[in-house]
Amino acid sequence: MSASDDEHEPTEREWLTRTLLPGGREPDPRFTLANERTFLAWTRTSLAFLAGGIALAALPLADMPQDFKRLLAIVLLCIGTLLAIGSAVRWVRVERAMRHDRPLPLPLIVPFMAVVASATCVGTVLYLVM
Amino acid sequence: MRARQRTGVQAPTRGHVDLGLQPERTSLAWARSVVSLFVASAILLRWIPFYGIWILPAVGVLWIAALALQVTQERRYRRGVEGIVAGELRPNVRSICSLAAVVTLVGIMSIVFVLLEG
Repeated sequence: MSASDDEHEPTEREWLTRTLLPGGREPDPRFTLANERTFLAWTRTSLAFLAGGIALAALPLADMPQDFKRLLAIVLLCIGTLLAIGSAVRWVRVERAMRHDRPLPLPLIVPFMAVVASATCVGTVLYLVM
Repeated sequence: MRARQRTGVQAPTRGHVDLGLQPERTSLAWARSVVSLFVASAILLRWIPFYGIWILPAVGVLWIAALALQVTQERRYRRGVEGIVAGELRPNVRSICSLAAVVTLVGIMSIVFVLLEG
């Protein structure tokens, strides 16, 4: 029996898996993989925010006040960090719901992202106008 | 058709019966994430003139995570295929938690660096 065969034995779930995803039964594998891809998509979004914040702090922008640039970089980095945490939380919540045949939880990070994107648009317009 | 069925039963790691290509799409999603980790680390290198070698641990964490994910890509794909064939797949908790922890850690380190600059 190979190691991968062992993974399908319900008695051999790892401690971390048992702690994060207690009880229930394994959902359809396609849904597990779909949840995994969604987590990865959010993680890449988080990395994009982090990269934006890092680039903003590193690149010289002569026409932008230093303090404002620093504040904007911190905001982007905070959003990226929160998204990284939120993506993991969302993955766990969806996985738990699927294991217990419950309806999927509402994605709280979607309205968060909508607010962030709207604020970014408004901020960019104001910056360009000023 | 017969060849496809035989392949699915006898060699599940080389072919499977999922027409949605879930393991392949998931594998590609991991690959894109690996590239994103490398891109973020490359941009982070721009901070060397400001923070010197102190930025290298953050870059190193991203590289180690990206390399570890890349090395384990085939295992994840095979695991996904086997899960599809068996009809049951254990969630990839370790990889997911590790990646989330790495990105969160680098985010916090970056925030601290920018705050310390002022």
